[in-house]
Amino acid sequence: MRFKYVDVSNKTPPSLLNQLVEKASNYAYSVIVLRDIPDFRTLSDVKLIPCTIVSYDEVPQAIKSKSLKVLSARTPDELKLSNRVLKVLNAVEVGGRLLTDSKFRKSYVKLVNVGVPVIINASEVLDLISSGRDLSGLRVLLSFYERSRITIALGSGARNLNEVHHPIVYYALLLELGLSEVKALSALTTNPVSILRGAGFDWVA
Amino acid sequence: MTGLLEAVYLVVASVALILAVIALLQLIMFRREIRYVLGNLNSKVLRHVVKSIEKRRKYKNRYLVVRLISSSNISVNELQKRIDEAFIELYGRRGYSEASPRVLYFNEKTSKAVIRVRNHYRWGVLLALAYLERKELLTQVFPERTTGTYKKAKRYAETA
Repeated sequence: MRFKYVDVSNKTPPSLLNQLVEKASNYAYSVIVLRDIPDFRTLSDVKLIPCTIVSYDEVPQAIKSKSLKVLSARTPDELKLSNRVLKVLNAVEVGGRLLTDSKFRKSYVKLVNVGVPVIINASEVLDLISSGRDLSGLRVLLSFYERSRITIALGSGARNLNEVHHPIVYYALLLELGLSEVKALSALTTNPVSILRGAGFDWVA
Repeated sequence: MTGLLEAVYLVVASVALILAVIALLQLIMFRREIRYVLGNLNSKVLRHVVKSIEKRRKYKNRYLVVRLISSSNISVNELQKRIDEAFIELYGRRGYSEASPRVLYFNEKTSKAVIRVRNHYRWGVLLALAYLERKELLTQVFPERTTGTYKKAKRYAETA
């Protein structure tokens, strides 16, 4: 029996949906969390879950929708974790300067104290690596994760079809970033599933 | 009867004394070594030991079996060139010379390739292949297996 993976963050446009599902199915993904779809659907055995980006102003609309509610933060200012937002939030997606600068340690400690799972986009990390940027912020986050103080799930963060990779490639990426084998594997298998279960999608394998 | 018991006690006591003297002599002889081991048995030493073991395994090769799907026909030389470029871009020339990835075999029927690489860089090769996928030089990359011998890797690559 093949193990089925979950892509917890995907930004591929809906026009490429059929091709994306075909590729994901080849790569043994059973669930994809997509940005731009209105509702839950199943396409050739791949379940597509909608994702809603939550901000302080958009909380009332986010409560109504049956989707994965994610706060996207690229700078420390965007990481506003008020009680109002935390009530509906399922995960925090970290990117931009939060990955490259290690001086925002307070923001990471805030994430640790709140206990919200963190989603990292592999596509963004690969972009930063290929452009030769420093990943010290990401290293701080991973060190917290290695000590089990935070939950991290790695999503593809793909904006295009060619940015969707095999799960073993993401495993290789996490190992190259310095994670242990157990932690790297759980960031791809158990953690995404637990995030989706927290959002009410209990049937996820 | 009492005389016999006394004799037995005497023998046991003398054997115990001899053993104690031997243990004491050994302790004196190996005192320095024991003290050295007990004094240095901390995480730093263990890390050093682990590193030295890893160094010994440094030059072991691994053979990766990967299924590569490309929009155009691809030859072994072309694939080698692309992997070299991607690997150098990710790890630099030093990393490339340490890893020395080589495409040994490519089966066009099964579209599986065997890539030889040093043990420590086996995940790096997968990242380099993902890099090629991102650049649309390859359509899909499926890591299939990692083996310790070329013979086994070729056998897996030949089967569909």
